[in-house]
Order: sequence, then C-alpha cells, then structure tokens
Amino acid sequence: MEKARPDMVFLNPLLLLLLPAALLPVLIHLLNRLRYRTVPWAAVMFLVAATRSSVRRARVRQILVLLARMLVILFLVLALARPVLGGWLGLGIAGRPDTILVLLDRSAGMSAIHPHRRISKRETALKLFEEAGGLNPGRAVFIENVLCRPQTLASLSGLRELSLCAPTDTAADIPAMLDSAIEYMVASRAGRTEIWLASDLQRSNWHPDRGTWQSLNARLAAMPQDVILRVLDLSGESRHNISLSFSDFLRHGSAEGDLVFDITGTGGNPGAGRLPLVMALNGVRTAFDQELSSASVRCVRRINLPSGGEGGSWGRLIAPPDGNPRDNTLYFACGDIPDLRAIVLAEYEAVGRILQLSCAPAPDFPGRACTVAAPDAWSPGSEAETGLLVWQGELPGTNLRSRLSAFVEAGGNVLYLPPAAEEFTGGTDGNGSSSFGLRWADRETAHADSAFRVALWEENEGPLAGTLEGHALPLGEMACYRRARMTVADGLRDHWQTIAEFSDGAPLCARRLLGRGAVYAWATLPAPEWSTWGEGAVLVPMMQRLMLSGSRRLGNVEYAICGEWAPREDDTWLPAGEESGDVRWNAGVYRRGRRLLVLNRPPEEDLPECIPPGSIADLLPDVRVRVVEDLAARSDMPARSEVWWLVLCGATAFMAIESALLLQRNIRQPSAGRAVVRE
Amino acid sequence: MAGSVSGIHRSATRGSSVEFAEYRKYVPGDDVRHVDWRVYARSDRFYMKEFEADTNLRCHILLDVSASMGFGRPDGHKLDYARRMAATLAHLLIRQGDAVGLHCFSDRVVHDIPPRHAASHLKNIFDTLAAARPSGRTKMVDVIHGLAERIRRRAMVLLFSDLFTDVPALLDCFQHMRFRKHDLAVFHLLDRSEIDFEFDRPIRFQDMESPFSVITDPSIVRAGYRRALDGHLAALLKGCREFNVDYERIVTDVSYEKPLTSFLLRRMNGKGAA
Repeated sequence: MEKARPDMVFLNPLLLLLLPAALLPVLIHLLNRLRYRTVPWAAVMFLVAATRSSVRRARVRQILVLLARMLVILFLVLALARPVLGGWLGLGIAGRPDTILVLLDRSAGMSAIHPHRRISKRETALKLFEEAGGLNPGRAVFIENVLCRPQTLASLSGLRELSLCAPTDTAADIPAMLDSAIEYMVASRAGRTEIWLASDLQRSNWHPDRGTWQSLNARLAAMPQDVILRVLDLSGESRHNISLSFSDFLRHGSAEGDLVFDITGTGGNPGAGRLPLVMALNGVRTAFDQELSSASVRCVRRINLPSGGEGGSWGRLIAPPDGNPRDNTLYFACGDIPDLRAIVLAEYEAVGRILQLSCAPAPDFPGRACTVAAPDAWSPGSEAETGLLVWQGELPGTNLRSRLSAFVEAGGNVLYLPPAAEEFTGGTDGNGSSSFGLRWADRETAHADSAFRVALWEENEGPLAGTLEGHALPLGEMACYRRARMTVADGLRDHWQTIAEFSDGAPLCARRLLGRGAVYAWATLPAPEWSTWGEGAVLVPMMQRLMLSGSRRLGNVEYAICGEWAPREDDTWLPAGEESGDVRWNAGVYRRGRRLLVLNRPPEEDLPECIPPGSIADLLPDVRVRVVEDLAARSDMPARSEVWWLVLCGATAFMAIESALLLQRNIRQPSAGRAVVRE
Repeated sequence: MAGSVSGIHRSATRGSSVEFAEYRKYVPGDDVRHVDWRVYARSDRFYMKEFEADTNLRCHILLDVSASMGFGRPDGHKLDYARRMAATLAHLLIRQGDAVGLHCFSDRVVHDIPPRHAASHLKNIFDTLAAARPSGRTKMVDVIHGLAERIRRRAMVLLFSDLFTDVPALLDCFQHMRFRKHDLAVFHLLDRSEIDFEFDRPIRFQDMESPFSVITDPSIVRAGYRRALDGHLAALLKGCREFNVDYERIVTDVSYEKPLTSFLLRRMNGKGAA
C-alpha cells in the first residue's frame, strides 16, 4: 500500500520562508500613508465632495491593485519553491516526466540473446530506451552498473553509440544503482521523475535478501516529487546456453598445472553429449571435447606449461557460440610459484605448534614455511612476504591494527583465534574500539556428553569449500567442547559474514573481506580440550588454502573478479593479448610489467535464477512500480506533477490585472478644469 | 450713472446735458418743464424731450481677505494679485474723477472706506490695501447681501474673491446686487494648483479657514476633485450670464495686466459678461 501523501509538496520548501514578502505591498502602502505631508488648502469644499463621490470606488480599485501585487509575489515565491501537485488536480495537468533516469544493467547476463528478438537483452533494452525516449523528450540521466555514476544525456536517441552502454563481463548491483539514482534525485532536486530500469531480473544482481531494500523503499517513498519506477523485464530464458566459469588453477611444479573450471548449461538439452572446447595457451590453440554428464559439471584439465615463458603463461578456454556469447570464455594464467609462508602468533604454545604443523609439516618442507612466536614477541615487518598471519590470544592493540589492516588490504589473510586463558579483556581498548570490529565475548563449555556440532558452512568457496573431487570437508564430524562467543561492533555487522555456524546458530567462523584479503575469526582452538579441529582433516586444508590465497599477491599472477577489481589511479594495465578491453569491465588477461592480472566473470552471473517480476513491488511496497515489457506503452499511473510553470502563469496573470487596473485609473483621470478655465 | 458731480461717463439715466437723446410720450407725473411744446404745437400730443446726461461714477471695490485668499505660490498669493488689480482700478477711476470706495471683508467687513473722488483719497485706499492680511473665514454671502443694502445709490461694484462658497447662495447675492441696480463685476481668482491638483503622494490637506483637514491620496480623489471644481465653475459662469454679471476668471500665474486690459476693453465696448 502506498502511503497517503499531501496533495501539494514543494521541492524547495525553504523558499517558502519568503512567503511573508507577499505583505510588502501592503506595508509599503501603509508606510506611504503614514509619511504624508501637510498642505494648507483653500478649495477644501471640492476635496470633501470628491471624497464623498469617488473614494469608495477608487478604494476598491486600490485594494484590487494591492491584492494583485500580493498575489504576484505570492505566486512568484511559490513558483520558486517548485510545487508538486498530486491528487486529481495533479492528474489533470500531468504531462511528460521532467527527468528520466535510465538504469542499464549491462552485466554479462544481459548479453544473452533475447528470446523473441535476434539481438541481446542489452541491445533490446537500449533500443526500447531510445524508442521511449523519443516519446518523452526531457532531461535524461544515464546510470550503468559498473561505474554507478549519473551521466546527463542530451537525449536518449544516441544511447547505443555511448561507450558506457557496451557489454561487460561484470555483475550488476541493482540496489546500488537505485541508490545512485536516489542520490542524484536528491542532489539535483529533479521534478517529476521516472526511473527506467532494464534488467534480466537475475537474482544475484537484485540481492532481494539484502536489507538495503527497506532503506531504498523508504527513501523513494519520501521523495517530494512523483517517482515512478518502470522495470523493463528482460528475464525471458534465452535459447540453449553453455557458460564456462573459472574456479582455480593449481600448479604442479613448473611444467604442469590443473585448470579447474565449471560448465553450466541452461535451456534446450544441456546435460547430454560432448562439448567441443578450444584451449588457447600463449596463442597456441588446442581443440578437445569435454564430456558433459549433467547440466552443471566441474572439470579439471591438465595443462602442460611451456618452458621459458617470459613473465609466465596465460590462456583462455573457449566454448562454441550459443545463447550468450559473453560467458563462453574463461581466462587463466600461471606465473612464478611463490613460497607459501605463514606466521603463527600464539600465546598458547601447544596450539602454536599444531598450527605450525598444519601450515608447514616440516621445517624443510618444500615451498612451505611457518614461523611461530608469542603475540607480544612479534615485531611487525615480517608479514610482507607472508600469506597468512594467525593470531591466537588477546586481540592486537591499537598500535598493530593499522599494520594488520594494510596487510589484509594488500591481499594477505589474518585468522583470529580466541585466547586460551580464562581471564581476557575481549579485545577492546580504552576507547572501546576493537580490531576490525571484532571482540571476543564470554566462553562456553559444552556438556561432557554433547559437544557443539557444526551444522552449516560455506562449501562453494573460501577455506571451507569442498575438494576438487566434490567431497565436503568433514566439518560435521568435528566436535567442539569449548568455544568463545564473538561479537561485532554495531556499525560493522554488515561487513562480517558467517561462513560456518554451530547447530545452535552460534558462529564458528566469520569472515570480513577487506581490500584484496580477508580477516577470519574462528571460535575454537585446535587443542584437545577445546575441539577435534586439531586432528587435521579440516585444519590442514583450511590453513593451506588460507596460505595459498594470501600468497597470491606475492606471485606475478593475480586473479580477480571483473567489476570487483579496480585499478589504482597510477596503474596502467594493458591487455596481454591482441584483443582490446577495458580492465574495469572486460574479462581477460592484463599485463603491467611482469605482473599478470586475470579477470573472469563473476561466478554468480552464471546462475540462471531470476526473481519473479511481481516480487519487485514487494521489495518496494511504497513506490509506484510498473514492470513492463515495452517502455513506450504507458500505463494508468497516478500522477504527481511539478506545477511551477502553472504558478508562474498565475503570477503573470496577476501582473497583467494590476497593470490593467493602473492603466484604467490613468485613462479615467479628467484633464483638469483647464477647458473650463479657458472659457 | 448718477452722481452729484459731473464726470466723463455717459449716464444710463437721462439728464440735463445739452446732447439730445430721444422723445418719449408723456406720462402723468413727468416734469412738465421737459415737455417739447413745439412738437405739441405740430402734433397736438405731449412728448418729453430727453437728453444724455454726463455724470461721475461711484465704484465700490469688494475685496475678499479671508484666509483662503492667502493660498498661492510663495512669490504671491491670490490676495496679492487682487490687491494689485484693485489698486490699479482705483487709481484709474479716481484719476478720471470717479468716486471709489473699498470694502475688505472675510466673515464681516473688516475695512470700510466710503467712495470719494478726491485724489488724496487714493492714498487712503492704497494704505488699506497694503495693510490687508488674509485671515478669517469667508461669509461672503452675508457680507454681500449687507453691502447690497448699504449701497443706496447705483454704483459699480467690483468683487475680488476666490468664490469658494455655495454657488446658489452666491448667485442670490449677485441677484440682490443687480436688483439694487448696481453694476456688478466679479473677478474670480484661482491658483494653478487648485485647478490641476497635481499631487502624487498621500497628503493631509489642511483647510485654511478652519481646523478641518482631509488626509487622502490625491491619485484617488483627483478625478472627483476635478469634477467638483468643473461643476462649480460651470454653475458660476451660467449664473453670472443669467444675472448679467460681468464675470472674469483669473488664474494667478497670468500677469494681472492681461485680465485688466480685457476687462477695460470690454467695458469700453459695452458691458457684458465674458
């Protein structure tokens, strides 16, 4: 239900403070009357006669003139305050919207061919925008999903030529786009506004579970001007489509590596047959067939790496053309192999030892190294060549936080484990601040016969993901006897994500992504009196993965998600191959000196699930939402229109009335008694 | 014109001069000495022989010295103007042997000088005119009625005033004067601003003859004022023509010689209203 709003609101309500200025003509008139001068007069008998005969009529005229002047000022102030009229009157004078905000989702999914047209959904949207723009001449503002930056357009006619309308390999964040649109409306004080949003309604783009929808709904509903959201529904399922998505590239020595990738098929009969693929490595193409046993399979392809490649090798895997040409390619690269290093800072010595073994089984283990120290004995600086820093004990003090923050933002991983001692401060300093917003709270001990069990964890990605063979890590078998409850500062709750939780809902592992790295908090210790985590089935792969992902920055190859990765201002990344592309929104391999950057599509773009069109109105219950398939077709929307022009016309009319009254008075003045005097 | 001393003016009455005027039939009561016996001898009827009589003129100058006559420009108000005209006329009349009297009045007669024809009398008139100051309310109607009764012998009456009073009552006075056979000439004095009424901002108009005042916006009352003034002037003109009063309207921004010349020429060519 839409909330009842007053029939008239103002876009510049502060200017209404000038309304008392309408009394100026009366004040000036009264002041003039008070400032009279005295004149001795002989012919008073005629004045008395004149006062009797003409004053009443003249006074009525003078009151009308004053009234007209007051109304002129009143209407001018009202026009400046930009009134917006609703109700039936608003409906009567409603015209074209003053501003059209065009929101284009140009994510990879929008490159799919439209089921009823021979062009992509993105091109379909642009075409419909242009057609509808011809029917709605007015200010047009364009926002696309990558930059989310409003751009004013002269018209919508040349939209397709705009470089910002080109296809991308990014994902869209629809709430963020709407947020940008609202900020523009607030900043520009746009009048009657229509938001045209073209989207394939992909669930991963709309984030219907995100709490920001309530805020968006409230802000849009509170807009003083009339706002209509028209969603161009492009969710129709396209014809048979195969998408390739990169999962991992695992090196086996310097000569071989495994490319791990997923094949997802939608439409038609995706689960059957063999899929011809082309592998291009350093420009050399190799064709092979990949068996497809189901609609979604994970594949591993062993690759022989060419020797002596300067700066590493890179390649791509290409699927044949289908319903979406944008998701047929994935990119990979392999460069120098960095040593995996970890620093374990543990106040509980036994725990430190177990963690060290899980990171580097032996001091001379090839490619692995782990240093153990007490937290208070650690001197910052050694983390520069490290992928993982484990901190067990009281959370670090203020002096170390900025150091750790820089380490994480550069790409390293930090794992916090609770203090083993019974007495601890929790991790806040005197000012109440804590490390990354995390704080250890009270400790819980399970009953002797019933340990805490892990119920849910993130199996698709991260340190607890399943194995390449598809087996899950045995977190369900892990028994936990003691755990520390973790709390997060109020303003940072949205930044932390629980990736494993106990059966009672308490978090076992929480993660905060920061820059190119991540901070993890684990609620128990790998000590026998705490849990069976130290037995290794979960601990070892977890620590190895954290070391590996944290050490990627130390090699010369960096993997990132297209659209999520943004270059620094002073960085210049050029395509490694001959193909052109923009590092901000095109997947591919980019080079800067010896470093390679591999950008692949966001994996969620391959998820075909869409939200139902009807659910948009549920997300924005107080906003006028119309889901359409053709923007040119207007619906019976109630209108709220800006009427400053009408008020200005009123002011002009009163000016004309005032002039007419003054002119009439001057015309009626007789030309004195001179004619009689001359007789 | 009747007078005890012969003057240079031709009298309207038949007198004993040597210049034959006309015959008329005898009516009982006529002086038998003026019967023309020769005509009787020829026609057997009594005819009276009449002659033009030359006599001196008796002139009464009535000068309104009420406060309203003090209105005008800083260099000269209406009373100044009237004084100059009255003095000039008095000088002319006495020089040609006529008798001139002066009656200054406001709500009553404040200076009263009976007519004399002696040259020394002129100084008396001049001194009185110079001493006259605009003050008091106008009660012109009562004063003129009173003077009409007081002036027993036929005379020329010259009235100098702004005539800001009720027109019908004023015309009654004129009629009264005419009934008493007086030759009445009215000099109506007006200031230019009283005609044009060109004021813009709100003004408090203070009556010069009373504490009464009117606060008004001239732009509002201008039209009505001009209508009322025009009506007043038109009624005066019409009344003067009706009662054969010599009426001269004078706006004080015009040199006084001009209306004076006009008046004298008119008198030379025969009496009549302007």
